[in-house]
Amino acid sequence: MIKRSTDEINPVYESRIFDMNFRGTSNDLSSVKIFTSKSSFQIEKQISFDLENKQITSLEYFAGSVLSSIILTLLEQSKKRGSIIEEIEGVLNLSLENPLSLVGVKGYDEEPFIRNITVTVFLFVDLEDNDFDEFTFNALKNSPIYNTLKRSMGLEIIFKKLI
Amino acid sequence: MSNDRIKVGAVIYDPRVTVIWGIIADFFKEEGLEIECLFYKDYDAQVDGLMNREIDIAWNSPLAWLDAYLRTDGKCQMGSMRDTDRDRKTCFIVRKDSRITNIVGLRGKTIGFGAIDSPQARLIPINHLYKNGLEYGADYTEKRFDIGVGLHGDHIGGELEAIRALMAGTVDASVTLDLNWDTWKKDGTIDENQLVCIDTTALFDHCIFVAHPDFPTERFREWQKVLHRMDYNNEAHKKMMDMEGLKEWVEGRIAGFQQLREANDYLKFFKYVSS
Repeated sequence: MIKRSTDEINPVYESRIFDMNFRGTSNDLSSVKIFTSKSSFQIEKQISFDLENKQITSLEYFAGSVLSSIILTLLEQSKKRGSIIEEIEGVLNLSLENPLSLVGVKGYDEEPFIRNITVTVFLFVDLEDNDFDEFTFNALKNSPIYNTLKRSMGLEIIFKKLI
Repeated sequence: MSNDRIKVGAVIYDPRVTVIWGIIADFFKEEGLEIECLFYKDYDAQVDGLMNREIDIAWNSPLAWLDAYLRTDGKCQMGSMRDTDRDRKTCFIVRKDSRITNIVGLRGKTIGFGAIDSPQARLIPINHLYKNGLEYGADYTEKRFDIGVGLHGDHIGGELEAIRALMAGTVDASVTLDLNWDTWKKDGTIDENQLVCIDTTALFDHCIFVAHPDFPTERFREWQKVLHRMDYNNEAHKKMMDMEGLKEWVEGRIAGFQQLREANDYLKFFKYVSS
């Protein structure tokens, strides 16, 4: 049997790409219902400026998705190393540019967009500084959301070790 | 149906303020008098909108009231204001160790003002200085903090920067609305032991609803009657009224804009021919 180099291996599509499909419907032509494979959730607004709004908006799901992905990738890597994280908490700060275009203020017509996101993660973990940096750096490599966004926007992740 | 809605304009610089107008619109709908809110980025645009009948009623700053008053030869209709819009005054603040004890002591000094179009933090205090013998452009140096130009001083940034400059020693005095002075003393923004108010302007009024001259007066009265039904004791109304900073809507009056009119004449802020 001839041993082939890994460069010559041509993996099948499914080995390289994992496709996911979501369906969104709007029966009331006001809110949107998003279906996952086994579940669904309803979103009524892209964003709300009302501090008392209780419904989760598209932007909040997005921010939650980013923050949870980063915390989860750290937890997954922690488990692989014998659950080295004892406590973890993260804060996400997001700056939305041109918000007044969204509320129809005359004179503002520039596209609203997320200018930058800063995520600060606080970790209680028994690692020396160099090991800590290596651990967090490698963990981030396994966050598809982080890896995608870092290519398209200002995304800063700050890790703070709790002693 | 939509043509029957009364169109009300407001200047918005913070998206959260649209929540207040949403509550107001809901309130009017419940009362059977629908309104449509149109938002503008500055008061110039809003007064333009009022003049070309894009809106029927504008929630105007005092300077925007004057603008509309001049543009309509005094024919625009005056509406309600918040209770907190009445009887305001501007405070002249100095450092306690400055040895400046009265308004005349500001001669030759640098005074920190708010934005160029702020009634309370520039136009009215300049007029007050003039009345006390201090000529603009000659007897003191103006140091302006032009934050939120076009918002007629709605944004407190200019006044805040002016008082910070006072604390930092880069100006000898600063001017600010009495409500801000009181708030900053309470919340610790400024150190009351370091600063003192040496003088205040006479009382003046602030924001006011203004209707186009051709908007039916009866309709405007009806609209205001509904507005005045807002009750601070009603929990649903209280939220909006707290956000907008009032306990009740009161009748508007133009006597409270006299100092601003004088300031406009003195500084020739608007280039209209006085009627």
